[in-house]
Amino acid sequence: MVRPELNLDLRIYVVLAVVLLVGCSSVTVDEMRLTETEIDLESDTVVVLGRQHSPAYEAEGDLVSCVASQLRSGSQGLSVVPDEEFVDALYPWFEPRTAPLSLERLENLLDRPILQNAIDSFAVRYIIWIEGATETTDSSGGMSCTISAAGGGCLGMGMWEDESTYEASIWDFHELQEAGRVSVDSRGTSYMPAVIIPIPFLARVQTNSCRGLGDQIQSFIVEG
Amino acid sequence: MVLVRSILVSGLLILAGCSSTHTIDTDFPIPLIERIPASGYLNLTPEFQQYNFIQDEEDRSDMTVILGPAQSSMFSSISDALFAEAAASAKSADITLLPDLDSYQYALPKETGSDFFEVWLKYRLQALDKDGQPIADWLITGYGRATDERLQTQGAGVNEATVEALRDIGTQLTLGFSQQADIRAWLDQNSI
Repeated sequence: MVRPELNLDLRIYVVLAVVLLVGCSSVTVDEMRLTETEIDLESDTVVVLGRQHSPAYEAEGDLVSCVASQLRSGSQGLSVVPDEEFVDALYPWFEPRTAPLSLERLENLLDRPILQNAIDSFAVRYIIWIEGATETTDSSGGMSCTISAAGGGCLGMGMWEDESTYEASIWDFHELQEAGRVSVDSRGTSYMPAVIIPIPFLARVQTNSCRGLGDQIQSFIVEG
Repeated sequence: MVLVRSILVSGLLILAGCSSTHTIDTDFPIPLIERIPASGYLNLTPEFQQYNFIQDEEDRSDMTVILGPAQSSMFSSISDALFAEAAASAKSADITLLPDLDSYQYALPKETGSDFFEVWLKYRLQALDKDGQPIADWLITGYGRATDERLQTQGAGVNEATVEALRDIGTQLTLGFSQQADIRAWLDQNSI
């Protein structure tokens, strides 16, 4: 039997532990609308693709997958074509060296009936291109670990700051024009103290960027 | 007992740090291109199909990359897409393709200080006519890059970069085959 005051103390500690386990972070989302948007949630699809033509713009694969999942979620969830399925079906036209960097280039590609038919089969209404990256901008502290037959352990404290910047360009595939852009900036500090066992308190910078970007793109497209 | 555990743990750590074997694992898509109205045959030698890249330079960790099945799969996909008809043998084919790996090179994030695993592949591709006479002979270089993500193994990074490099070779080959000067001349000469 747990005494009521002890139960309250325990809850406070659990809440504190959860707060500490998530490092400090901040997210800023911006939107620029160029045209009105409309989508039939029953029949239209979207595809989310990462730019890969240059290391400076290359979005991580797990970020692209995360944004796609975010777009599928909620009551206004979109139908999202898996990026690998789309790129494989259109191989080799959406590879790093061939993917269209402009709408004019996409329009040229669509002059080939074989390509037009393949894209039509996905019922794609919007192509969402993502570029950007998450980088560790600063780190400090130190930790030393030892391992032996009798056991092992670590001692020290490490901390690092992550920053992420992503921009999504939303192409209207029916009208062949850019509907708008959504960008997100996120930063956060993570900590890892270690007394025998290292315990990471992670600022989920990339995850926060993914959620911010995904939610904003979804409302951008659905709410027109 | 403690001594045996120490030796085992040390042995495993040394082995893990010194050598690794990675099998390139992927299914290549059939390229979406208009086929050349000719019959083609892909000649994959046993050495090509079973090729393993072995890294044993002294200043780098030992690494074996099992590349044969993946590169064979890629060239098969390309050949299927390039020609309207697949010939059963070189003698019955208008064009026979004979690929050969010239070099496999890689760079790891820990070596370059970058955030990427990188792979370069160079192939020599010969095209022969029905009589075995050379139509074209050229070198194609492909490049692949994979982001070094947290908790990703070296094997996964090398695999992804190698697959990207193979896809890059496939891209250049499918889109550039008919444009290659000697191939273009042969196609024109044979009214294809």
